Amino acid sequence: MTLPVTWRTDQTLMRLAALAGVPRAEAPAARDRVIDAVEIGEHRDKRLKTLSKGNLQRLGLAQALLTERRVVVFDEPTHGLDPVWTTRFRDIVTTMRRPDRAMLIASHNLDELERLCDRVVIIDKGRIQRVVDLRNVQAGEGALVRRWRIKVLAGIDALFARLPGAVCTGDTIECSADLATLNRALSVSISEGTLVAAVQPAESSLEQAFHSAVGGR
Amino acid sequence: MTPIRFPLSYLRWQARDALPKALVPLGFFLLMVGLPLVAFLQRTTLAVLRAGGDQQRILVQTYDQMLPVALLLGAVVLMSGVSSLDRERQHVRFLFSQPVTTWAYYVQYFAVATLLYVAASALLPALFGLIVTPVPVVPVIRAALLSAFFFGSLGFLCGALLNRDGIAFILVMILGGTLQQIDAAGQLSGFWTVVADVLPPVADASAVRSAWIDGRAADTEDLRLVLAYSLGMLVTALLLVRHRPLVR
Repeated sequence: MTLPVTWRTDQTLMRLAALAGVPRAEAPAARDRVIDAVEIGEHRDKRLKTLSKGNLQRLGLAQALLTERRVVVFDEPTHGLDPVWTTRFRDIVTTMRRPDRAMLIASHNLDELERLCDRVVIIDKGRIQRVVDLRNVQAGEGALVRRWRIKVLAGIDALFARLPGAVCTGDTIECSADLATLNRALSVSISEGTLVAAVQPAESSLEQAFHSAVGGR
Repeated sequence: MTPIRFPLSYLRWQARDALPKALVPLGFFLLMVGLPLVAFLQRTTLAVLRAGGDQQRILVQTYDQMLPVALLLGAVVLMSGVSSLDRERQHVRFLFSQPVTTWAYYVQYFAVATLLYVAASALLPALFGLIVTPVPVVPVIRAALLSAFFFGSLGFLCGALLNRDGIAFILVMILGGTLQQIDAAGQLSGFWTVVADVLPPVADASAVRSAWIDGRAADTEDLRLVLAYSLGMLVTALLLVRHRPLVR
């Protein structure tokens, strides 16, 4: 959020409330509510130039919470936020979800988008390359062939033999398989003594869609 | 059609932003007229000064010389940078992501800034009258209003048109004023006459302002031209902020 750096946090929210059409009598209560919600009470008298990037981001989030809006736009909302506040941001966005509200998040963080969004529009060189409906992707996840990374502590050969086309590097196997094939192979190998430490997608479905949309970059 | 939304509840914040600029004439005046006054008061008393004499005459002369400069300075800074800095510093992002009509926001700012500037300008003769000797207040208010309208519109237009509006504003003022004075003396011809005619009537605005401050009637034709040009510049500036991209 780009704001005059000489403004104070308190004053900024009062100004933004006025611009947003919050009645003057209600503005102080609205300000206090959002200050509490994003926990920037200790910075309320500070000038914006003294705030950290993370606190400025929280101030931006507070602005979005000042009034009931039908359209909310977040521009790189978690940039500069610490891990605790990244999670809090997701919680706040989740509570803001409503059927009659559109929330647009501009972000390069695919993991964040995958967690928060219903639909993702991939833009490259200023043009829309693909629209990914994550609800459909998640519903069809079972049949989707994805790349997996499996960390094995013991009995790696047994699992490796059951995954055609897999590549083995040290204690890690990387393979392409749908969920059913992967689970079958894991189940049989584990019953034969294989000790699996972790199974994770090598890349998310959104990452796959992104790479294919921008031509493998 | 989108309804026009004036951010009325933001008025007090706009007034707060405009106040330092509106106080420029007062600050300049206090410096230029206040310092000689203080110097005189170290040698004599206020009662003696108010009774007349050389010191009062010098102060009145200083007042007469500094008043137009103070008004001009205030009018020049009134709207300069208003729209261009909002773009350059990307304040447009928060200003206009709110339910606010862009041009209405600037009209409101212009109005409140003008009001404050005129009020601050009215303090100059009022203060001088209170301390030294009575001088007319109403002509100064009229002159300030005209200055705000003309130079404010010019500053706003430069800001709406260009990012480097300060340079453009000064160039137009100097070039316009100089060429129009030469033209008025009949020393200009050809291309430069056209340039002098096309540029905002800086010389005419100064002539009207000086006439009013001196207690004379202003040339009606000059006044009409200045008012029409000011209105044209203001409307053009508003159309620019309405139709041109906010971030460029």
